[in-house]
Amino acid sequence: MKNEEFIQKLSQEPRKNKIESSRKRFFKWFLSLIFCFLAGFSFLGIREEWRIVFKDPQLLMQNILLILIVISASFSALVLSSPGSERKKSLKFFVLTPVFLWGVLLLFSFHQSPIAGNGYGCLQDILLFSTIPAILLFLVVKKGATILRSFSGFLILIASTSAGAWALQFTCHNDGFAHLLVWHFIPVATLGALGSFLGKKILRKI
Amino acid sequence: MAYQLFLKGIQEKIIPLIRKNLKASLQDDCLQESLMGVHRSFHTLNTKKNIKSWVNSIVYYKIKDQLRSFYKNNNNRDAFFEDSLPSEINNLHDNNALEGFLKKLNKKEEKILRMCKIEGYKISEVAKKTQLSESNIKLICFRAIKKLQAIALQEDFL
Repeated sequence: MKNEEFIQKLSQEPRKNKIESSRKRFFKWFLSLIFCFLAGFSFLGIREEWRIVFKDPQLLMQNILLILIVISASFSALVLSSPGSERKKSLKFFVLTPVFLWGVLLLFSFHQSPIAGNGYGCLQDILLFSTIPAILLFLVVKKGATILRSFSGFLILIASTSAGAWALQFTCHNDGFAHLLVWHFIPVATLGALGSFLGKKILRKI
Repeated sequence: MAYQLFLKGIQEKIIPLIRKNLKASLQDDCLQESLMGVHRSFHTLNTKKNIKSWVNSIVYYKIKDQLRSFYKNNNNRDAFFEDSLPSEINNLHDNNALEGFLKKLNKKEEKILRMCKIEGYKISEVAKKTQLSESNIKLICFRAIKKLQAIALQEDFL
C-alpha cells in the first residue's frame, strides 16, 4: 500500500479521546487508594500501638520513604504513559532513590532485631492492600501510550505494593527490622520485578 | 482533512530520521509502523509540550523495533552490516588493483579488511581473532572502506 493511501486510511479510522493530564489521573488514583485503605483497615482492623509508626525515628523514616515511593512511582508511571517523557532521566532517579534508601535503612537497622519470624500474614496483607490499586493503576496507565512498558509495569507494582507496605505498618505488630526487611521490603521488591514482566504483557505496544 | 494534513506533515519530518537509521528495504515498513504509532498515540499528544520529542520518541521506538525483528529473523548481525556497505567496494576485490590499494592502508586496517571482505570471516570471528570488540571491527572496517573509496577515486578506478 502506498503511503498516501495509508495516511488516508488512517485518517478515516476512529481516534481515542484525549487523556487527562498526569496530575488529574494521579489524584483520582490516589483517592481510590485511600478508599482501598479504609476498606482494608475496616476489614483487618488497626493495631493498638499504631502511633509508634510516627514516634520511632527509624519507623518514621520508613513511613516517609514509603510515601515518597508511592507518590514518585505512581506519578512516574502516569507520566511515562505519554511518548517523549521517557527521555527524562530524572524520573528513574526519583523512584529508585527512595527504594534504595528504604533498603539501606532496613539493612543498617537489621542488627537491632535480627529475627525475622513468620510473616506469611504480612505477605497476604500486602497483596490484600495492593491488588485493587495495582489493577486500577494498570487500567489508568493502559489508557495512554507507554513506550517503556517493562519499566512502567515495575513502577506500577512498586507503587501499589509500597502503598500496601505502608498500610501494613498499621496492622502488623512486628516492628523488628529483620522482619521488615524479609517480609515487607523483599516482597515489595520481588513484586516490583514481577511488574516488569506483567508490564510487557498487559500494556499494549503503540 | 486536518488530521490527514497533520499525518502528512509528520511523514515529511520522519522520513529523514528513518532513512538515516535503516537500510532501504526496511524503510517503508518502518514509516507505516511509525505513522500507525502516531495515530494510536494521538490521544496522548499534549499541544503545550514539544511535539518534536513526542514524534521522535515514537519513531525511534519503531526503528529499534524494526532492527530487533530484522536481527531476530535473520539471526545474523553481519548481514545488516555487510548490506549497508557501498556496492562498488564490495565488488572491488574482483579488481587486480585491490592488492595495491590495500597496501596503502595501515597494517591493522588491511588485516581486518582482508579477513572481513576477502577471506569471508564473520565480524564475530574477526573480533575473536584480533581480540577487539565487534563494534570496533565494524568501525575499523568502515573507515578502511572509506579510505579505499578515496584511494580508488584518486586513481580513477570508481
